[in-house]
Amino acid sequence: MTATTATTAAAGRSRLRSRRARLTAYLYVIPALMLIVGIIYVGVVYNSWVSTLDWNGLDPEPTQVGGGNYARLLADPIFWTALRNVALFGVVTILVQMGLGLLIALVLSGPVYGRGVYRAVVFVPVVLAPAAISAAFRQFFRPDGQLNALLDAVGLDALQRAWVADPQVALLALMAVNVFSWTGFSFLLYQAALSQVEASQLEAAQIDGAGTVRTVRSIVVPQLRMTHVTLALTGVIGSLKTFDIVFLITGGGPARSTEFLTTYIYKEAIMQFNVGYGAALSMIVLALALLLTAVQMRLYRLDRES
Amino acid sequence: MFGRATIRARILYQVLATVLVLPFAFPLLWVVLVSFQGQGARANYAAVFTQTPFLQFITNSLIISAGTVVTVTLCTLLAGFALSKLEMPGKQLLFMAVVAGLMLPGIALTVPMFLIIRELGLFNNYVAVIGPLSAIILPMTVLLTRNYMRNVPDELLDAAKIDGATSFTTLVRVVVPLSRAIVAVVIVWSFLNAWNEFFLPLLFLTDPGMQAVTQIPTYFTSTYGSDVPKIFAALTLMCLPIVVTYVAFQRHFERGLTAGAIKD
Amino acid sequence: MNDHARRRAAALLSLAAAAAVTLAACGGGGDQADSGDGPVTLTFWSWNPSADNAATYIDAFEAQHEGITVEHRFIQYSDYVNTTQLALQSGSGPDVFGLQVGALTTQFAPLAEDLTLYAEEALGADWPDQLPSSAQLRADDKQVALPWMVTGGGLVWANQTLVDELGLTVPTTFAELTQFCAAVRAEGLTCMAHGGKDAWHNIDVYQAIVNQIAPGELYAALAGETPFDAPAFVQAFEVWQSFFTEGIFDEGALGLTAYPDANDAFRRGEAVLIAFGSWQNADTTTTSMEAYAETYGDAFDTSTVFMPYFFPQVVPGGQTGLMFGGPDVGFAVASSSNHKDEAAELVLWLTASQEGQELMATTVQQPALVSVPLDLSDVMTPEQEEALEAQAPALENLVGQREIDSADVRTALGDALAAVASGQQSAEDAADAVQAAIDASLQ
Repeated sequence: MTATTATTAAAGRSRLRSRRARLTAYLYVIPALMLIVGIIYVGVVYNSWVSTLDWNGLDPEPTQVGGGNYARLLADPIFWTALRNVALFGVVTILVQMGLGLLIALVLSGPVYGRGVYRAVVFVPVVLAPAAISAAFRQFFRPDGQLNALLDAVGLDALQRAWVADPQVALLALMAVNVFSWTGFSFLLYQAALSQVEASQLEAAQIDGAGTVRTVRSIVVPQLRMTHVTLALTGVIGSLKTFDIVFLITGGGPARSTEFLTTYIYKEAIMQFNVGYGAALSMIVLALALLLTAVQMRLYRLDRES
Repeated sequence: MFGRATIRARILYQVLATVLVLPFAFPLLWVVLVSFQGQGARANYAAVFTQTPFLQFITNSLIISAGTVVTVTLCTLLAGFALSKLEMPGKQLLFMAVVAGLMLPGIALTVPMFLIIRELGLFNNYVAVIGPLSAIILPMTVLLTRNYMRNVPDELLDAAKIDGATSFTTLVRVVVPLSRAIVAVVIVWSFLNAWNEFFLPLLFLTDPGMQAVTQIPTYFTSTYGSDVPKIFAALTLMCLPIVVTYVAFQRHFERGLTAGAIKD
Repeated sequence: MNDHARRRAAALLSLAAAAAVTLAACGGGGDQADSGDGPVTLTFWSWNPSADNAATYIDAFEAQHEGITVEHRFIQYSDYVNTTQLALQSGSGPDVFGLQVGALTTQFAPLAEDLTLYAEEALGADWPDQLPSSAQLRADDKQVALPWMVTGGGLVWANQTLVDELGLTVPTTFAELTQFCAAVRAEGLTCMAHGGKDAWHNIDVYQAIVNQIAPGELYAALAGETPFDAPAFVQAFEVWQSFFTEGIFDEGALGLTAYPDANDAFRRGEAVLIAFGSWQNADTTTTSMEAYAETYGDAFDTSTVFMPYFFPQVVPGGQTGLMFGGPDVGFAVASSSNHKDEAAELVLWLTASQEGQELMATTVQQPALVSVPLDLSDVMTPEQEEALEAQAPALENLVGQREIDSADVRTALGDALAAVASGQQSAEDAADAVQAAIDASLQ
């Protein structure tokens, strides 16, 4: 009798302890959750409601338009232009940054003198404020700016352009700024991944007489898969989020040739008081982000299983 | 990596490296060089301090960054610990909820944030920047920290429990000291994001006395016209703190970025 | 064990809360209690007057108004709207701020105080007759701002000194213009500096062109009374495009702002012409020359003669000598201001007092107050005086309002002009696009 009561009591005490322990555990997560749920999740819900209004943000009586903003959106040529710009920008910059980052990582893993300096130069732009980079490049891109001067100095003056005034190259100019800013990130990830490639496999390949390029292609690159995936995922979200450099260098112009969804949202919601429309645009951006991430994750996981 | 290299190979690699990296160096050099033009380096850099509220901007950014770093680090340590080491039902769900925040483009929150901040009268209040900023940074830091803390051996935690430690004491006395590396990463990562943040200060800090360092270029062009050497001097000074921090904490930057990215 | 943990956790949370409260208290820029007595400081933001000019007005105002200090902040127009709008919405914007007629007035109307009663008090019941252009600054049935001066677009300014040095004469027809520009470009200079990044500058030039083809029709079309997709407007788009294709504007024009980029280039002698209106009239005075010498440094020659000309005849048989405009700058009082009375005093002094308006007259721009004449005493040369006086009949009979009331139509026209300029849209499609925007805005 005594033994059972003792065990039951002990069991009871430990159940009590574990419930308290669980509650305490929640307490730990609450601060972070308060911020994330309170700001992000609540924000998204509020945003979805505002997106059904025709509102200037100041009027105490907004008009309800249901899906009206979304209909307007689908028929809005500026929206599609912005979407096209973001897509083009995203694809090109992600590919270039990955390719360049990988190339630099490979080269710098070889017999290079002063490797630390090279690494620093490539990576420093990643930590610089986009606001600062934008201000600088705005000057570089002027018709009488440093870029055209450089092209002239190396005899490439045929390539000189009015970089931010010409709708055909303005987007290209922004892509260049992004590549400058972010290649260092790709480089860093590839460098770390390369250092993990097993030396033994490389030696084996060398013994088998494989050249450098062949070794890279068949042994090194496949082992970098995880890095490719990470860069692609972060790159897509990053492109959708790009605002600073567009806003500060071209302002979305000329003639909307560099209008991004982000700048369009800002202009509509904050500057033209079309808060409902801006909210609808924001929901689309969010939906795109979720969709693209889901698609990519499906893509990569399937690949892995096969 | 590829075995002993010939002189020809060495030269090839060196040239290749230089050609690839030079385009990155040019903009950096141009900014510094142009800042020495015009009225001369001393005049330009001095003007940034004397003719403009530059120091005020720096101070403001320090306040914002400090606030963000503290908020993010505290929340992250608590949440990361709980999600990696404590028992709770729905832990996986909570974790997914936190990490899902990574997918959100902050711009999607423009309208609600603006309206809410206006309702609460929090314009020109650092909380309006620190709050949303922390919320956006947290998913990443919680992810990294939770993954890192998972590797803390459970035996150490059990040992602490046997000694009568509470979960909190365990966190403070056992886990955190072992996680110094990731704590450094969280601090550096949140500082970097806070210092470089442009959009939130643009929206919520309209009083020039409260503005952040990222608003310096626009403020300068609006008010002082286009004296490019001076603007570039301001840019150089603006980026100096971050570059210095990077150089000092290089390993932590790199470890932090690669830690969460390569391993799953 | 749990008590201990709970206490620790509680302590942590309250620490965080305390930090939040402290930071919240740290913030907040403009929450000063409004005291009836004691010295008042007003914040005053504008793109015009500039930082240098503002001092003159402020000193004079403060001398006449003891107990009020004015802090002025100058913001370039390209950033002004954004900055001021955000600041006003946050309730910590300026007490007094500049406004333009048109879309700006409509947009800022909810953020500004109605000045009707203040104006009546200061000028009497017939104040609209004393400030005739004030009608353009009404919106939502309230007097959003009071006009400071009246200006007109439809001019081209020339760096006469530079033109003479080059041995050229300022062109008066399109053919002369293209030849002129070719000669100027051969010298490595820009012919006509242009801020294509700023929609307003593009719209100004377009108005100058279209008013030569069909005087005054633009304003009826914008109001939806006549069609915009009509031959006159399409032709105007084509002429506009030729400014780019014929090298009158530089290739990079679409990437430059009017202020400071194009304006600086013009003042520094890098460009020979610029399509600004009578708001630049102060460029003919010696005071301005001295101010520019300070801004632009040794390279600037204070004896430079800037001359206003009417827009050259860019269409055969086109009617020249017309100007379009109204109050280029009005001043408003923020409805969120804590010192509305004092702020209104500043606005009224600037716009409706003899002293304030006489100061304005010295900049050789038409004062808003009807009783105050132009003051030509500081103008440099008699030729400039003549040119300025020649503006008077056009200013008295402005062919239309320079600013467009609907923000969406204004954006559409700006977009169309940029698209046509860069060859992305045909003139017909551009006119159609604007027509669509006009139709949408009238629904």
